[in-house]
Amino acid sequence: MSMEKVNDLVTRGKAKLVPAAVQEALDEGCEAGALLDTMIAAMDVVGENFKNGTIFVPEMLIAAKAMKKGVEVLKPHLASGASGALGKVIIGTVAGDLHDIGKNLVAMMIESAGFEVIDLGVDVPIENFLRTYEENPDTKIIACSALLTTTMPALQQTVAAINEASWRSKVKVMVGGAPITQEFADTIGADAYTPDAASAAKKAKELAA
Amino acid sequence: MYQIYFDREKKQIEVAEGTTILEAQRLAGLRPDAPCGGAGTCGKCQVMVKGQILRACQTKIQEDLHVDTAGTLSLEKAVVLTEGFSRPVTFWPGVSVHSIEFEKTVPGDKPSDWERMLETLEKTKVKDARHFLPDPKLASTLYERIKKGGSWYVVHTDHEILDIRDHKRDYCFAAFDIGTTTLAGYLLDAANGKVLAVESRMNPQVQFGADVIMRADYALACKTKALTECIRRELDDMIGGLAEYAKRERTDILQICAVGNTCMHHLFLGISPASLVHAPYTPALSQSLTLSAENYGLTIHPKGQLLILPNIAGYVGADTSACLLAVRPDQKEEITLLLDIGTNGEMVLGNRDRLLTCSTAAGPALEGAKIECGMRGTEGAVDHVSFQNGSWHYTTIGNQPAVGLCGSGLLDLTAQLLKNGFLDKSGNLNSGQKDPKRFLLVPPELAGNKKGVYLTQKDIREIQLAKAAIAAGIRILMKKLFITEEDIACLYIAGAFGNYMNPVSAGTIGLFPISLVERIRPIGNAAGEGAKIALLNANEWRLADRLAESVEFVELAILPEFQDCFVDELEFPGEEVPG
Repeated sequence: MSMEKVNDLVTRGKAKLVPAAVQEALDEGCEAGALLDTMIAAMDVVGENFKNGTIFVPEMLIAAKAMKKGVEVLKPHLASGASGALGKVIIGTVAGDLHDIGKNLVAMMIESAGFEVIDLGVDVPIENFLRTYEENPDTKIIACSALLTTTMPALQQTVAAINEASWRSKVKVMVGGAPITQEFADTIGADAYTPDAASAAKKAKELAA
Repeated sequence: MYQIYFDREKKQIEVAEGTTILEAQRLAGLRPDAPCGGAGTCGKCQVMVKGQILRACQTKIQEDLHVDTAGTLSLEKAVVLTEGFSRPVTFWPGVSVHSIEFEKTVPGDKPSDWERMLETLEKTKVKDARHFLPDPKLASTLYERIKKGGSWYVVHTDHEILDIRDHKRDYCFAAFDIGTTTLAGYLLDAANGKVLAVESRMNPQVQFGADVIMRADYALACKTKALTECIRRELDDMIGGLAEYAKRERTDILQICAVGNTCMHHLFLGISPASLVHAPYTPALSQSLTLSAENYGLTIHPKGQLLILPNIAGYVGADTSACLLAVRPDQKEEITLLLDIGTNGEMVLGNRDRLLTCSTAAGPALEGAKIECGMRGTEGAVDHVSFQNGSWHYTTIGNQPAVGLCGSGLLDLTAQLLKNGFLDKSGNLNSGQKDPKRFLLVPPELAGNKKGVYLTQKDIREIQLAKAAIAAGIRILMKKLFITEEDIACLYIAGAFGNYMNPVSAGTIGLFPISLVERIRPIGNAAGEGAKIALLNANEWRLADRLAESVEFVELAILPEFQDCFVDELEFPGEEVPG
């Protein structure tokens, strides 16, 4: 019952009600890992609905926030590493771009899918992407975003720098952002492009498998 | 090369193969409306070719064509706001006219004619006239004048002489608000500040994209020059129109003050907008400018000046400086919120102790873009909607059959759906109609178009994104000032949308805290008012730089709490239904 309630509240994006429901479920003896799974399942449904066009960006953002609130309550109860079992993902908005809502959404969806996300934030210089990978050589994916058409060149330069790196073959590069297309992703030599956060999480799972 | 015939406009143009119809329309000077800048996403540039409806931007020319532009929005018929409320300011312009006369030069007089004129000026009326900049051209007229004797008129600013005349002329000033979408121009009498003529037009740069980012894109990809020339030409043309209407000569215009957002400011001055669209988003130039109008494509008096108000930050431009001049919140004890709702929602909150500003990316949804049946405020747009005794009522601009929803109609409709239970707090639409995710307001048989006028679930989500951006901006500024909505004594709403919208609807959907509805004062085109004030009172003009500098800019993009706040504001106001 409590588990279903958490699942339902996350799906419906009730961020204010989720923490209490998670606590209640824990108090009733539900396992933290199972609760996390049910929330991940809820986000899967949200992602699926988004892809089908039955829900839109606002609901995704609201649901992701609800999930985050739930995870905050859950964190102390989770075995370390349980929430990042699929590996590490480095994510950031490229230099010259301060937009992060879309990028954050992708980060949350990828995290919800079971990755450990290293979020470099916005306006990330190329060197930061490279250095962070070198500090975390077990990283599976580097994801870069550009929201404005004016920062697409910066995305191109970032991916080009990663493509030059000696460790390039060990990592996958994902790109996204409103003006980005599959064609552009191919031109600049990225491994994958996804049009939205839900498919980004799905793609990340595929790439890391 | 192919011949393209625009039959409706009786225009013909020759273009190269592969040119798009949209490009051909631009080349022919037709000013097509292309909100998405020709990306093929908005579908607003439809034209009829050989009985087929095509998107002009996506159709490449492969043969001679006859193009019928019926159905496309003409940029000429839009309703543009030019009215503003005027804060009373003392009439004390930066340009004055004085009559002087002085005795004939006698042998032994040491100073030059020019210096003697300045001395006479200073003795009679004008402070510091001795330090005025010398002007060889004007000096060359002095000999004849002095020989003739009598009195003549000197036109001067506080540091130079603009003109010397035998007869007094009816001088004027012109103020311009260069909006992303619309331009408003005012001709003022330099003798008393009265408005002689008003003219508004669509910004012809619209053909290069609806919002500032698209314009910047175009400027960066194809050079700034096309956009710069386009806007300068239009303003110069407006000057002609204003002068003609008022039966004045354009060469009698002594000063022009122009304001606009940072992107419009840069493009008008011929500055690349590159710095505006790359983090950390700074203007290339902010301080106020006094320029020679003729260097900026504006034909007025040969020594006519062009005044540009200062920018405040990357996305808070000279138009906001002008709004500040129109309201002067820095003089008030009470806390005021100044809100300019457009594609970017700029706001200034505070009082004489401290003023904060920010800019939110509301997007063009509230102006009708990105909305399936959305349109600008032109004929046939549903502009107001109400729901009484179980039935829906609406009005349209020009009383024409409805063809779409403009911003104010969109806001009313959303508010009514929300109030009457068709829309829940989280934004789920249940229209109670055949398709619950779509609310049909005007059925096709009553509409002026084929599909009718309706609102979709997706449209509601766009509105949520737009309103959340503005509402979150207000909330963050309140937090930074340590105040609540109760502390805000007055909400000034500037800009066209803010003046046509029903404030109760705006409050109902949570664009701003609902309690502020009773404290709203629409102030019309406050940016245009501010530009006028800068011309009418030299002290206000001089103060603008300091005012702009004193306002603290809050960059929302780097505030971690912004996203949280934004997501919270995505919901409509109302009680949380326990889940």
